Amino acid sequence: MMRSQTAPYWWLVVPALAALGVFYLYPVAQVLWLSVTEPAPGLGNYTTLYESQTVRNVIWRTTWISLVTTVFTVTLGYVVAYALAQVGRRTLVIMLFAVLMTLWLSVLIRAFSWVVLLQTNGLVNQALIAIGLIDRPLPLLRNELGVIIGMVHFMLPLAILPMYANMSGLDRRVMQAADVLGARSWQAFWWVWFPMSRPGIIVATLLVFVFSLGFFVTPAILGGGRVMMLSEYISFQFQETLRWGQATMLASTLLLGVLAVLAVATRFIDMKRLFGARG
Amino acid sequence: MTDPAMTGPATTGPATADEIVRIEGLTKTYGAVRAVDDVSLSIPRGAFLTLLGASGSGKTTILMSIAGFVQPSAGRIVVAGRDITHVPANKRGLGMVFQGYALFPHMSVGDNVGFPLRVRGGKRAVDRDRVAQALALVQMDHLIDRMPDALSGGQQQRVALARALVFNPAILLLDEPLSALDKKLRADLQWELKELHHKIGTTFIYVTHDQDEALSMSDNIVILRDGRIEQSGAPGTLYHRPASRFVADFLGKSNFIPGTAAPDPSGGITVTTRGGQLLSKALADDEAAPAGPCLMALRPENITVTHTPLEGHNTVEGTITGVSFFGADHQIMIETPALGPVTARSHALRGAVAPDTGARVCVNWRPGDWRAVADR
Ligand SMILES: Nc1ncnc2c1ncn2[C@@H]1O[C@H](COP(=O)(O)OP(=O)(O)O)[C@@H](O)[C@H]1O
Ligand SMILES: [Mg+2]
Repeated sequence: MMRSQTAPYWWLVVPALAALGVFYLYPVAQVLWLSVTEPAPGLGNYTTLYESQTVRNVIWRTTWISLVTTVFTVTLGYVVAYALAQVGRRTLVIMLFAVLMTLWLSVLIRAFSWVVLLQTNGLVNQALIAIGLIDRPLPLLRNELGVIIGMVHFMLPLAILPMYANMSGLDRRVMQAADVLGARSWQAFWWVWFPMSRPGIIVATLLVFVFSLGFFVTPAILGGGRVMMLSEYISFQFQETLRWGQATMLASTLLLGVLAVLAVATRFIDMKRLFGARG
Repeated sequence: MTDPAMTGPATTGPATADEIVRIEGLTKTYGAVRAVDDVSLSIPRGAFLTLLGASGSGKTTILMSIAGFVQPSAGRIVVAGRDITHVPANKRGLGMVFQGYALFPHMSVGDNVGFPLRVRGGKRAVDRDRVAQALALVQMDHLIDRMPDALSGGQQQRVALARALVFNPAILLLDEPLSALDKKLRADLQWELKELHHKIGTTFIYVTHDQDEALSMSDNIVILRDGRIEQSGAPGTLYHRPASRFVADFLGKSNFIPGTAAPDPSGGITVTTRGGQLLSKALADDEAAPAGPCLMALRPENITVTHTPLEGHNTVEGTITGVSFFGADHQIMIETPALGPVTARSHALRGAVAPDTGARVCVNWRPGDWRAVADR
């Protein structure tokens, strides 16, 4: 019977489920609970969402920085994933190693490296002045541009890997069919390759956007406190102003926002298929 | 013993009027592997030519060279008088059906078939009627709005055919198009393909490892072995006049009998077997007379098993050691002192003797029904 076949294996995931419950679900429940009880029971905390201009600004800024980051990351990542899918084995190993290496570097190291590169007399400004493109240093740090540059860099592997996984699974004979049937290379790309790579694009987009919404370290360092995104604002509320009710309310809002994005996405796409559960 | 009309030396002489493809000295090496080794072919316009060989014999490499996906290490490919060896695949104007169908998964059946028209003239060039006609050719016009993943394997293969034919290419390349289908469906589609070929007159270049498929469908078969042409010709020629042990064994089955040949005063040949028996061999008009040590190939279906020797036949005696029943016929294993073990095939109802294991029988065949083959 089905039951007796599968039942023993459930025990294998029990430790993982227990860990999830203790270290994840419990704190999340706590956060949700605090957001409606601190300082007084009720939805009082949530009224700031439309009453406070500051909170609205933070949410709006978080959303659009995340959107811009997603667009740039997925576009650049697509190019890299496409290259990965085309090159020979040896080049592939080197390129994949380069992509994964950025994942292995600490996010702090990466953010501070960008500070070094982007500061007023940093390498980027010096180079641009040296080749005569500009004559005064550009402000690349402590603004939204700096934050977006750092975030795009951080998110790139997250976009490249799912898109590469999708592309490497595409049937090459389908591309050969397009070719032999007379398609020019741009036709073969836009009419055949690109539509077939759409599932990878969707996964990458969701992943990067959801990650960006809650991103903390890079915006905090490259924004220098002037580009306050949601996570940094929440941390500020927890640690500086000690308004736990406000902080947990914003954290809950972020969580619900992410769930809403995923819910909308599932309405349009088959999640199980995207993540390889079937098909 | 290669049919001169089919293959020839790698000359660059003028194309004959009805030649559509000429391959000259085609060679492809991958490191030390010679995937294709000096293959030359001439394919007449409108032919159904099959490249037949075991897995790894170089069939796909030859087909992919014609399609433009494999750059030859040496040699030329000429299509309709034009050297296309260095022309990119999308400029060759060939139709092709792939082993796994390779339909565009995100396009409907109609859009798949319309694709070759669309790439040639934009969306407006996609003529619904032409698409429907191409689909009607393969009895698929009623499924024009289906998506490929809602089709069976046989239906997908038909769509792939329609897609390859919709722009009226002069040549259709097919790489093992039926190998993924089950036996019954494969037989049906073999018929349909042959009929389709007859109807539209396009030159088919067909790759398969299935000898029955090759024999039943082709006008011409090229048998490949380790990247080289072993023998080529019409199916009947190859079957009845195999040049080598390899061909005789690959197309159908054969008994192989080593012996020594000597001219016979009557104009034929005498073959002395290892067992010392004298047997006669009649020669066909174009058949070279073997001399000295030789290898004779004898097809099981050319053997008649009887209790008494047949008039005008070679006859050796033996004992039945085993019988297999195949519905329409029996396969009878016979141990003979003169030839060693021999396999005969006889019609189940018309067999001259009841095939009982242990029975003493005579093995008979006509002097014209066996053939000297090269031992390779
Ligand atoms: N891209 C390749 N790289 C290395 N060896 C190859 C490649 N393609 C084919 N071969 C080798 O060439 C030989 C012929 O292959 P192929 O033409 O595919 O044979 P077939 O289609 O008759 O099975 C095989 O030994 C195969 O391993
Ligand atoms: Mg092959």
